[in-house]
Amino acid sequence: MNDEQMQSLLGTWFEDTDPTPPDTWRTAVEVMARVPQTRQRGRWWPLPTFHRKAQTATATDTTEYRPSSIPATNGHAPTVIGRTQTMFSPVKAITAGALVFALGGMFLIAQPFDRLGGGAPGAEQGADPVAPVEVTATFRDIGCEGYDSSDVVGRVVTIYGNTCTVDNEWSDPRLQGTETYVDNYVDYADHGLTIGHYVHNIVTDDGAWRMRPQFRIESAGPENFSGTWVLDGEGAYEGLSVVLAKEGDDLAGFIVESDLLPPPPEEGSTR
Amino acid sequence: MDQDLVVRVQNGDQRAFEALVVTDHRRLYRAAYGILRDLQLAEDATQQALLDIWRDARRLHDPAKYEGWAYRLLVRVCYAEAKRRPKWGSSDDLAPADEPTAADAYLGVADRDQLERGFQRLSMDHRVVLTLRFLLGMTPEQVAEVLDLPRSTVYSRLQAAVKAMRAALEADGRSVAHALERQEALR
Repeated sequence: MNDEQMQSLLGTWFEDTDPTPPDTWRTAVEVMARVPQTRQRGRWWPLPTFHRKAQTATATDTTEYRPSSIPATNGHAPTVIGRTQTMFSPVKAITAGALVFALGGMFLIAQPFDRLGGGAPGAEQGADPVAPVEVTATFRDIGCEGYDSSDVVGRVVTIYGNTCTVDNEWSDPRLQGTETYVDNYVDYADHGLTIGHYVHNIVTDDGAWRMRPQFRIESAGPENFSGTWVLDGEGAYEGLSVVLAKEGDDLAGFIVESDLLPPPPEEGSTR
Repeated sequence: MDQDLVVRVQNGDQRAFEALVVTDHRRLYRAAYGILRDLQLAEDATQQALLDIWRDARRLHDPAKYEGWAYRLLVRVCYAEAKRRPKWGSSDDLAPADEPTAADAYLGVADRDQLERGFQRLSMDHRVVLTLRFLLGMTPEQVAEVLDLPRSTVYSRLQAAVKAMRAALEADGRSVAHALERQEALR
């Protein structure tokens, strides 16, 4: 049997073994029952997207897949001289943006401290820093919406992009908003150990607080891990950070000025 | 698929999503069964894919590309199902045989069970491309679009999958012939 015969046989076999689908309405009821627990994720990219290809005509058939049509070449392969694709590439655009930021950052770092406005750590300041504001909260996990992908090797499960919602009650209204955390974690079932790497974000009407990614470890019982959180303000909170200690479900810390907390120098470097 | 329906789902309209489930369930289930060859796993995968469609609808930039994108989510779920339950496809879970058809005469070359066994020996990558190509009738370009793979990769996967299927059938044929020979010798 050659490849052509095999392909023909496969087509016939697929058709012949096409199953009768289960009751659509029963499926609809079962799926719809799970919808309230499945929160829709936000867009990856908040801005309007650039489409690399023209939109195809609307497919109205509800059962058949009709992908974009392939241009007719009249039976022969045309010779195309020069570029055949648009020069715009989102990946390249993002990479270029990141490079600009990185170079800009390096340029700023390279400036003498007295030209940075904030002054060198420990030097006299032009203005008094904003006094730290104490904040507290109780961590309340509402539930997780699901994850992007998983990897199972024996009794070790790795979950990527586990997205969960929390409803913390904050003592400071600036931190009250929509809160989610996204977690990548490895679960070592035989050792009762979970190691996670997660971020926690708060979006409010006036801006957002973005957490610096943090590792967590749980060796007994879920959810009650402790650690230190640092969330950087955006929008109306630009220039502010929240530094928090998490002990079980209790969060306590301060809102401070971000530039009061420069990172320590790299090992071997001089200030 | 009605693009307005997709846009309404993107805006969180649950009634629109219910309509989408009703219209889309069959084609997704068909593809899932094609890949997984197990009625229950196919239904689980279809339901999960539909929920993933709801969850990630806002991440679909172009509603016109909904159908290919939905297949992509379904394939992803099928991979996960296959990982979770590597031993699928007991004969009890196969689709019940229909009345004999004209196709059955052609299938006499290698019977249905042989094909089923051969297919179940294939890797997931090979199952997926064969299903999209020969069950759903997509062109290699369309398969590449759905799987977000280069066209050349799809071509080589298809070629390798057909060869692997042929090899599996031939190996199965040999083992059946060998068993018959042994049975004959024992008489």
